Amino acid sequence: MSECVELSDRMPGVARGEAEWTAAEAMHLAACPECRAEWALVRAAIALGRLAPSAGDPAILLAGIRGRLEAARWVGRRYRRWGVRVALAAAAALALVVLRGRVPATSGDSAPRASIFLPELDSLSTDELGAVLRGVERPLTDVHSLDGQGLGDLDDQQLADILQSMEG
Amino acid sequence: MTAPAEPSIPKDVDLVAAYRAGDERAAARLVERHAGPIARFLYSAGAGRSDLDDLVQDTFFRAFRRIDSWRGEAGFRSWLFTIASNLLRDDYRRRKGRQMVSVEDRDLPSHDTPESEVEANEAADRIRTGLIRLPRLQREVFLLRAQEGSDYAEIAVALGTTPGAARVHYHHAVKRLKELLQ
Repeated sequence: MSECVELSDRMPGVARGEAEWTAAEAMHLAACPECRAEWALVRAAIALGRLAPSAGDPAILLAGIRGRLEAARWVGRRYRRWGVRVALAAAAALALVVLRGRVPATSGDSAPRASIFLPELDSLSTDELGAVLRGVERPLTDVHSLDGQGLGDLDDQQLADILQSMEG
Repeated sequence: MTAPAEPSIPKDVDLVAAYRAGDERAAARLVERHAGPIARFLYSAGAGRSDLDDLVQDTFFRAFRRIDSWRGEAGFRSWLFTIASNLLRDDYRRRKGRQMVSVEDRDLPSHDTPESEVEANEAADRIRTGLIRLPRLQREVFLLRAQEGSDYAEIAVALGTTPGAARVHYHHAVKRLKELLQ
């Protein structure tokens, strides 16, 4: 390894005060303009680090970190608890809007089964979109089906049927 | 009678294990130990003073949130540098490549400031301007090597490269900085 490469490898430690130049290294540094230029850069980098603002009071920093971690955990718990219910409510609300406006009820069939053609959301009118949003925002039991029942009154099979009609 | 043994300084791997087990004091010690070097790295790599606190907090937030993904193959500080580097990259993209570096980013030296310190500060300002003009990988390799004293193996893990490539990036950075600052 050349003297310049050896000196380059030693520069960070010497600049940080963790080591010192040997007599031979000091002689090389005095005689080599490239090494002197690199040495100036390394020392400038150390000086730049000293000018950096401090990270602030660690206690305040830690309080901020903890607050964000707790908020992230709370959001995660909430999603897990409500994720399925919100998904069901959204799907059912959309199906209800479609059924109400587009698809005639099948005679002799009391369950809200549907051969539902699901339009793209952007083809819904403003009122229809508002109904979908209200269905998502309201609790499960407040959404009404075609039969006047709350979704909370539908059994698992009926809810599954609605989802099936959405997903095909 | 022998003197009582000095309490040993816990290693990062022990603090992380304690934190994973629920010891919040371990998190506090990790922050105390590494916040300064992370701030130094971010500032030197071009982060503005006004963004620094947020970036440091973001770094630790991401680290503690994904603490289980640190398996100790690299130093904990190296892992923090990886996260900080990615945050800087994302911040740079958000600014659409506009580097916000204030020339008068700190107080001007007073008449009482020793001349050697003035010269050192001026050299620091010049190198910061030069560093920002380097490609990201060269800039960060240079900082981790020259400023933090990391070896090339640690730098390689922190920045997702190889030790040999890290060495090449360092020497490219040195060459380019010499050209920019002469």
